[in-house]
Amino acid sequence: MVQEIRSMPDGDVKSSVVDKADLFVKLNELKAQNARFLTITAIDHGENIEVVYNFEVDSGVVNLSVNTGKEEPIASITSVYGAAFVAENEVQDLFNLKFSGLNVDLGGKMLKVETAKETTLLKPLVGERPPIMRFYGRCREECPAMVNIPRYVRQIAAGDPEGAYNTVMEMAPIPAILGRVCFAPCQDGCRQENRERPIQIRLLKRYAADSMKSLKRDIKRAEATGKRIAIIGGGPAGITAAYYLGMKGHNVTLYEKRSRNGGAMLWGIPKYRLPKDILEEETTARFEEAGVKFVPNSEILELDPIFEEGFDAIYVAIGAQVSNRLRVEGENAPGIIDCMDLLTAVNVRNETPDLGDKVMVIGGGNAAIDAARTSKRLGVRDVTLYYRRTETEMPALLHEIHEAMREGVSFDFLSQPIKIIQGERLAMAFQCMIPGEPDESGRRRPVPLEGAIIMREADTIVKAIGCVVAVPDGYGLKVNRRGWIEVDEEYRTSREGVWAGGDAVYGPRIVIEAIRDGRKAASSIDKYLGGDGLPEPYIDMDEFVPRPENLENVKELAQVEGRVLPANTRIRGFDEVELGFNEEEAVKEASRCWRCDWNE
Amino acid sequence: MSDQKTVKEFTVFPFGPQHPVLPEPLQLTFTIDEEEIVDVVPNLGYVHRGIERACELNDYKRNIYLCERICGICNYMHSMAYCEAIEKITDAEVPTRAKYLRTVWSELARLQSHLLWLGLFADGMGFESLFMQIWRDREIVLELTEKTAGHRIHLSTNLIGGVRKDMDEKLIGAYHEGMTELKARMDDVAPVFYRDRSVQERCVGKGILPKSEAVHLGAVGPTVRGSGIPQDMRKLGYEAYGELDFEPVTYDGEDTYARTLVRFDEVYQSIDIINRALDQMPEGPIINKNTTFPDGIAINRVEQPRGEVFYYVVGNGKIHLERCRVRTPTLANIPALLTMLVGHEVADIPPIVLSIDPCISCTERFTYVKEGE
Amino acid sequence: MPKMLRNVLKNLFSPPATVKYPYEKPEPVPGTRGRVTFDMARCDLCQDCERICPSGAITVYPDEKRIEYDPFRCIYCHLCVDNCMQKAITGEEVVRAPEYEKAKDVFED
Repeated sequence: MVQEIRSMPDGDVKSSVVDKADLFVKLNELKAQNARFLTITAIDHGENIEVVYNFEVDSGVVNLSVNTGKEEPIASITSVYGAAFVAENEVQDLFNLKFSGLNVDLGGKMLKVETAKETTLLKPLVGERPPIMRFYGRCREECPAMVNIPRYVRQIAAGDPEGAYNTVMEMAPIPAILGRVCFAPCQDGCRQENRERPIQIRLLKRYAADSMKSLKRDIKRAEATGKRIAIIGGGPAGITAAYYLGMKGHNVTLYEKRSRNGGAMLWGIPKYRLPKDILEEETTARFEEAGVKFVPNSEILELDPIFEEGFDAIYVAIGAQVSNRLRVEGENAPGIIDCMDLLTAVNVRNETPDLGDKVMVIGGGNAAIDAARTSKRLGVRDVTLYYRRTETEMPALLHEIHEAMREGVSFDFLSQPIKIIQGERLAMAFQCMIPGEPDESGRRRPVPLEGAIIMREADTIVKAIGCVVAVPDGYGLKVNRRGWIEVDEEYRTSREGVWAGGDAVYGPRIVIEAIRDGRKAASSIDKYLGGDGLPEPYIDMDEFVPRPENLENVKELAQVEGRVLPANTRIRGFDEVELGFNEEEAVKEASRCWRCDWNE
Repeated sequence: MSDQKTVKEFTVFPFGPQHPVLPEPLQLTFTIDEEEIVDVVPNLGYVHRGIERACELNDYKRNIYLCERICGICNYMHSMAYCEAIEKITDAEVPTRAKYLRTVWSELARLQSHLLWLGLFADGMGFESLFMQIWRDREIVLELTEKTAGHRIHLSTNLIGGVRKDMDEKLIGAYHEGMTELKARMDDVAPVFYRDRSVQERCVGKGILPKSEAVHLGAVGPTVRGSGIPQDMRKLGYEAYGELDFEPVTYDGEDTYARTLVRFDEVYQSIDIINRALDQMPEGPIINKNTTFPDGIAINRVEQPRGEVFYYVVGNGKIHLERCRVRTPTLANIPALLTMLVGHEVADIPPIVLSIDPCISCTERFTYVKEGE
Repeated sequence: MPKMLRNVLKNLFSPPATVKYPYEKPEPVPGTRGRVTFDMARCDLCQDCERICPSGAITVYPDEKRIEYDPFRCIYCHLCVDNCMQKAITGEEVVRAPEYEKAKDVFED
């Protein structure tokens, strides 16, 4: 036992390990120095018991440690120090250690009554113990990918944005993008949300990413394993799986239908939310770090040729690419465009189509809001969004709706389109609705108000009511009745060696859920190919995390708001609207955290 | 007449565990010859509770409250000794004001314990109303404790790295007043212990612990200071004792009377230390938390009212401790007690046993664990 | 002897020291650590009190928004009162009344 012994400032403590044979030699030396016997401490180490004899010499403490097996007898020191019999009897009772030569031997009954069974201190104690626990923290539990949010917020508060970036990279490989587009379910879970001031976790992530001088980090992959994996689809699920599998040493090839990677992040999210050069920079950095070969402009329609080329596993992440139809009469008239086409034209090909003077957008999701704000930036004066339920039931993010209102988009709720009439100008008939009974998702079904029909005209109608998954038949995968690929809990499909994830499996969802699918599938693929998978999140009780210094102060701090461009100037172009935090604001915001995962 | 071997008959009788004189259960089996004691065998284990094992299963911060409940009389010093041991193996630095506060409260605990013992000792010799009067004086101390922390006995104000409660001007004034009043009442009572003839008949010359053997037998505290050896752990200078000048109280009588006087004089010494420490206390923060888990081995010795308590704490960087060993003063005094009793009469047993101030709850912290439950 | 006489006379002519409970109740000393109650309207179910309690007297059920507090395991140290961030736990100065059975207190929203 060579652990360091620390002692009081005025006395010093000396400790030494002795063999059983030398014990009496040392004892006699101590006796010559007039040492006073203090006590005997016995520590159970599993295989052996360490018996520590404590003495006091000139106001300092001297320890002699003797290691002995559990069944061996040990010589008693009562021949030298007579008063030690109390301590030796105690050790005898509790640790079942036999001392030979005790002057007063109570035979194991000093502390136990005559009828006690032969038990010792070595047994586990019975009865209820107060719980010792540590939590993940609600923010981390709400995140679909279980990013270690409390740790990276702490790292930013301590002034280490690079460490924060690496922490996010353990579970999600695209922090710069997520810091701009993530829906942030973590912020809804924050305990300070009750007082309307959750920690701005998303903007802190963006600050950490923006502080890096170069998004490509200097890290090494694992050794090459020689296995080849094909990933179909370059969206967030595909990029994540490619990165983690590449870092494990596999040989990954990513096939993407379009000319650039990004998937729904590329065509769906407008340039004023996510500048495309940042998207390009970060995904390219990940591909270079992980050694991923990126093959654009290749649409894969059959999986058999890929297996024949020598790939060992395939991950399908094709996303949801086909828009829903409005299912009203006159749907195919010219002037009715799909939001996906509009956004792809503007975001990918940088076109500026002319949509006329008045545009109607049908739908209530984030895609509809993006289409409306994009139309405003293309110079349309009058943009109105029509949704068939109320504002509180819109699935779009609340702050997106408010930004759209600030930019001048009008909203018309409880209107369902029933007919499109072609003419000199496009006209659409709307049925006014009122909220009725709730359906299975809890939202109230709209019920038509009899006789209330309104007509509206517009130059362009944009439909943004959702997308469906279209899996090519050549894949040979089983799909469910909604067209989504069927997988088990390890993301394996019905075909051996093929995994799937992302929007293709769960329908149109958010970026962070696709990242979770990508990482979990990568772990499963790695285990299938003989590796040991990726590390899963666990509660680390050995990490010391203190509670905030001053509980009173940290409760009352107001939220630091991220800066944005002013509303009237931003619609003139496609510049990024949010400007994020600078260093001082980020540290101030991160210091507001209540450390729900404390472990003191 | 045939050769008859006369077999001497010895009587063996138990003293305790329940006895009007003992504050806590302890069994001593005496072997007596007519009226003289020949042999004593101790038998402990009546208040085992499993505290040392429980200390390994709790996290290191809960153990403060567990260690406080090892004993009901010397409780504050147990929690203070444990906190100091943990502070040595983490990186907590106790601020100076907290050190003074801990010193003041330790001395208050010592006062309370000595007053309790004086009352019991008086009762053991038959002075019942003196017992009541001294316990009435002890109420002054208990009321001060209640004003400070909220409870009369368990202060529960220690934390790793400092203390939890502070004292303001009004409270310090109340302390000074209480100490003055206590001193006056002790002056009233002192003549009984110093000069009364019946006390001297029962105490002088009984329970001799020779100076040459006292240290070898392992005795600590007032037991050994009554034999003329100036052994006091407070001279090691923990907390604020290094900045307060005082000398250990010793008497050379080696008997029960000397030990009584040692404790009585310590009451006056404690009153004086409290007054001086309160005047010298600086301003400042009262806590400075730790930022690591306990890692390493720490040895800590503190002077409790009954002697020296020894803490041996082993931590290994986790939230649980690996071992927490407590050796209390009464356990160390037992061999001395066994030597002191031999050769005296049965009627001398209560004062002699009481003179080492047995606190058996401190002594026993283990339990035999039933298998399979 | 004269000192004793003075003591006797003093005790003879001074009022009794007992307080006639329950007709007169003594004032609790300010700062006494007594009964503990939970205010569920302010609680945000963070379970800090459960983790800090030295004797494990508090059990929080966040899904059911319920707190079970065992007043017989409690050691009345008031660590939970000091550490609750929403100030939802109150430590009163009154000592808890005795009971016939050992039951836990349940606090619900």
